[in-house]
Amino acid sequence: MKVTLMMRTAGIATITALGLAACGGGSGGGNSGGGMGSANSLNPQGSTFQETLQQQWATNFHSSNPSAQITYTGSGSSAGIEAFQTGQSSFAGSDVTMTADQQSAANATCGSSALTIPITSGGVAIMYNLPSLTKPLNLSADTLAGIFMGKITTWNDAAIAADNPGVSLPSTGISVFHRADGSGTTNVLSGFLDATASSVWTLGVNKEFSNWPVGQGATGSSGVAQGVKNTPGGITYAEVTYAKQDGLQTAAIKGAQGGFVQISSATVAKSIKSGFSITGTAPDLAGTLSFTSMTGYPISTVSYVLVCSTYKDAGLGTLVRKYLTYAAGPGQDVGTSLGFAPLPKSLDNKVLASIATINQS
Amino acid sequence: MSAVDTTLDTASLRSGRHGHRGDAVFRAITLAAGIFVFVLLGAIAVFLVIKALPALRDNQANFWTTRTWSATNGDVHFGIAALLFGTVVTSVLALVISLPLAIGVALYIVEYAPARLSTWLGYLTDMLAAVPSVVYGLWALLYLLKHMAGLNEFLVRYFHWIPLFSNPNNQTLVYSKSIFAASIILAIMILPITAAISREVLRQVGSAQKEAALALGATRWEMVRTSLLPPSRPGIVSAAMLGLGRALGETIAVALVIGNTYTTSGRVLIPGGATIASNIANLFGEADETGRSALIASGLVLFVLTLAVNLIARYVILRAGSEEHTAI
Repeated sequence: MKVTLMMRTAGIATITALGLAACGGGSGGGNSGGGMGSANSLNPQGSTFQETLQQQWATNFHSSNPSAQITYTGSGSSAGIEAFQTGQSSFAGSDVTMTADQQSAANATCGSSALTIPITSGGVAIMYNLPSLTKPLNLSADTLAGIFMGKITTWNDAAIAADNPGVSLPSTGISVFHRADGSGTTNVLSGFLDATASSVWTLGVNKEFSNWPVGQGATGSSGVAQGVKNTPGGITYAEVTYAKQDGLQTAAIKGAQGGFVQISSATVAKSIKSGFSITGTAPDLAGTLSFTSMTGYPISTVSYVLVCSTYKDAGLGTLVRKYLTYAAGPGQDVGTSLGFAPLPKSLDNKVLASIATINQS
Repeated sequence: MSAVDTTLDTASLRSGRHGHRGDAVFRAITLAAGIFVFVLLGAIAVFLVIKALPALRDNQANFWTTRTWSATNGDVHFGIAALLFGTVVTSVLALVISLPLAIGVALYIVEYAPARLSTWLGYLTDMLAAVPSVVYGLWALLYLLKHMAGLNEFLVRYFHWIPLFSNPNNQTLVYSKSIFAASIILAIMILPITAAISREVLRQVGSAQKEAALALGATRWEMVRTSLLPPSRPGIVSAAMLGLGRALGETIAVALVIGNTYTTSGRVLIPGGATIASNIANLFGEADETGRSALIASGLVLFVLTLAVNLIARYVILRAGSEEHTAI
């Protein structure tokens, strides 16, 4: 074909443009705040457990601080810790505390010590699909373990009947749905069953199991909730917002202490007060959960944020401090409608004190 | 115009002895492009092997026979038995379901449909290929699974004597995320590719052969059977292999629709099953270094499997191409 002057010019222009774009994109981006963030924008990522709450906080914070843009991505606790310790995100949401290796990597990236601070708490609801029942079911820890281990296979089993005297149970088979992807929610449930029903629950504590004796896996909390919604006789474990949005009933669970407790903001908060203890030295507030000490809803957990105590970028550090001060302050009540529980007052005061030290020294 | 040399000296053209600088540059560019493909493939293979080695070395269980998957920094025993089984079974079943349909669609478009309808049908099948796989997965999860209950019950009731379709523990199949469900959605996804290529291949058969068969008194179906399908066989095999390749690697659609249990039971209607790709999709987000290395090891197996499938296809086509096909 004949190459006209027009085509030649167009060709040269295209190649130049592409070349400039490639060079420009590589060296630039300093002011636009990609990755770690800037004085006006943050890109935290991590735990899916706190995802809905973080997104609500970001929206509320943005309406009172229009110049601030905060985007939380629920990529999973492990991905969040990874991104935080490599400096790719300003802070991370995580359901688990960092290991020693991760802590030292994070300290190195921050240039100061990395802090683990509880920011919210919530419970893992046990939801099921039995439209014939008018009142919520009671399930003790041993019965729950038996269901998830495949030892109890029908809803009218003797163990379930013993927990629910006088209730007529259908003979439907139990269809267990568990998480196929690794998740902090599975970690909490297995931690609870391991602590309170270890004679029945033999899989240990982990974020995911490949050897579930029974049931099928689904991806994400929405996947398991969807499965239960579509299968009569289904049962699963997930954050309580999914039960509400899919119209599923949640069971009242009996742990090591007390009786059968239904999940609610108040019962979760009671459990965190009795079952969560801080093991770190202030301002680091990492802690452990003791399921056997919980007096409220027994399958409760806290979720943390991982932050640097002093950020290299002062503007960024100030924004993180302001955002988390909102989250730990007025933001605590926001979570109630989403199924989260505010941190107990004594813990919340310590959290606010720790957050206040970010970029203040 | 005797001064113009009109003989085509292809040998010297190829070797570039004609001497134009432009030719030499162009030859170098195409050579580079060809080499680049090899280099890329080799680089991917090397990357996979290097990244997979740490987990394979630390693995305390037999990689090929273990069914469970547990790979975190302290506790490494994982095996690919269930994943490989699931991958192969879903892909083969998908091919078995969709290939006859694809050939049927192609035959209809080429032979039986009126001209305008056949062009439109061609466009529509091609458009099916353009739908993103995650959209197929969502549609299957939210719509297809619910409506497969009837089909599942029917198969169990009348065909339970075939172990493939049995349900020994009488589990509920109302919303069964199973290998069968994944195979159906995979079949829908590979149908357009297989149909489009089969259509092209069938169209290449010369009308002389077809008309000769008809002139000798063959019916339409006999003409198709003797002079249309046989010469197209290598092409249809390559279409099937392309479809199989897509099915082997399909990730999100399968992860949403399969039951995600590590089983090698072969009962396709029961909730459960996992493929290499769906396992990677599910576990990658929360995996630590050992976990990622283990997942890459499974990716390496999938890579080798796809290469093997393609080599077998090439061999089949080579052998088929060397036979003589006559119209009678």
